[in-house]
Amino acid sequence: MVVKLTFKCKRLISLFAISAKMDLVWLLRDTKFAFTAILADTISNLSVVSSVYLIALRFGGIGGMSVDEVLFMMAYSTVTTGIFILFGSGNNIHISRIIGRGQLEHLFVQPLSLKTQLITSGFSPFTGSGNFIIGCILLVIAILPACVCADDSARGKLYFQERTELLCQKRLQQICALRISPLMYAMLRRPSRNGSTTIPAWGL
Amino acid sequence: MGLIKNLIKPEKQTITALDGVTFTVRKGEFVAYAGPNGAGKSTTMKLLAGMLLPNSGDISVLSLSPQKQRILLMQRLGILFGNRTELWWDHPVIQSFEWKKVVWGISDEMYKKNLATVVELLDIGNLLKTFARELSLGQRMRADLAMMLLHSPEIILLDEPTLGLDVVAKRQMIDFLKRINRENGVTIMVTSHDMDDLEEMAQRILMISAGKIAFDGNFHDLRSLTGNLTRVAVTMEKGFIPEIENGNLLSSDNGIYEYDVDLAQMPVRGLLSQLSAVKGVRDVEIKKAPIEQVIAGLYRDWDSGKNESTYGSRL
Repeated sequence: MVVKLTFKCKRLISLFAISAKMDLVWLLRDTKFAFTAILADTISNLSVVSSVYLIALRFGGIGGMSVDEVLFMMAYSTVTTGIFILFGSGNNIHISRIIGRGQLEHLFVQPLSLKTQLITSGFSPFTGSGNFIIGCILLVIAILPACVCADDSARGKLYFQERTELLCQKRLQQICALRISPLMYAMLRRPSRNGSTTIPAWGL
Repeated sequence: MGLIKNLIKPEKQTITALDGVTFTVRKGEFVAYAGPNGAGKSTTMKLLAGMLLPNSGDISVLSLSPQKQRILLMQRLGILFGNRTELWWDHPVIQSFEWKKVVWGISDEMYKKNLATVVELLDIGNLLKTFARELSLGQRMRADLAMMLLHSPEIILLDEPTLGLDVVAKRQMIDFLKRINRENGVTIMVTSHDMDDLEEMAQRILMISAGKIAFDGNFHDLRSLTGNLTRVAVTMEKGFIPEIENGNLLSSDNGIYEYDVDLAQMPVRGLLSQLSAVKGVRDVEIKKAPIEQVIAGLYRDWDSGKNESTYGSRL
């Protein structure tokens, strides 16, 4: 039983590894391409998050949510999208299309259960992890100061607001810096087996 | 209105793709599987590979049930569809091979050995670093075939592997398939519309029509089924026209007259004595009717539905 489980785990890991390897090879095949992908993703992510965030800053929150809460919600949404893209790119994102075209049966050619295939085949830690990583970082940025502020709240609301505004400006700078980092290439047009390309599914 | 009707009550049609098909293929056999478009060839292939479920009936491949033990079976079976590729589109060919190695759990030793063999036999050494999307059709088929063979399958199912290939590529593929069948004892089942290819490759031919097995035997028997047709080409000197009894004149061009002769009705001896009596004969050529023509005749008969049962009972 234990042997069987170990074997299964090993197999799963090797399947994840080959998906990851192919993902990396695909990204690094061409400098120009990799650069374009990173740049496009940076711009797109930047505009999505910063536009909402700037509105929240200007009006001191949106619909009863404070700036921190807005940031948290955006981070949360980015993380969930990130998890989906991290594990579900490639053939998975198209699964409905594959079924619709009557081509699902061709997945049965592989000596793997359909579940295993779906879990492992779309794993793309290199082209698909951008949203996930950024989401995590944003979460930390959104939650940490809130914790600190909670401690300071005894010292008065005014101080809290001043401090938050200062932090917000700093945070905006941080976000901009993050978004331009090379990890920001997130999925742009990841190829699936049949040659078609994935439509980017941006968070928010 | 049609749209709304479709939404509420979509029109569905049940088609019996295969009906009472029964056959056994022995280990090491090379079987051709032929039939007109839509006869059920690909459906049979998919059933054998566990890609479709039959409504009723039993299938056993390598003593495994394709529907219940698909994963085990897929380790030992190779299937290739000529109209689609299993190669990763946006990766070099070798990358697809390495992917296959992991997914199929092929040992290093077996992978190295098989890779060396297919690279040599299929001449794909210079294609390994090319992206699959940049390959020509012939190259892609060779790469696909090579990939399929990496796990040393005991049974190979090929659905139209020669589709769209030129003469050289086809030649290469046929030679290769014959070789692995002969030397490694791999059981091969192949469908194609090119009867000449099939005749050259396979020893046995299964013909399917409208979901039923219509013929099972060798190519010689298939020919005699339609009355052992023979093509006779007679070259005449100017001003002479040959007359052959029971012969059906097909064409006359520049003094060459082509006839269809049914040797079942008129033995060769009779034909020769007739020809020797004809004046002005310069040359005579007797050959078997092209298998394509035989098949076309059969398909037409099946289409009109008149001989379906007759052929069955004659087997």
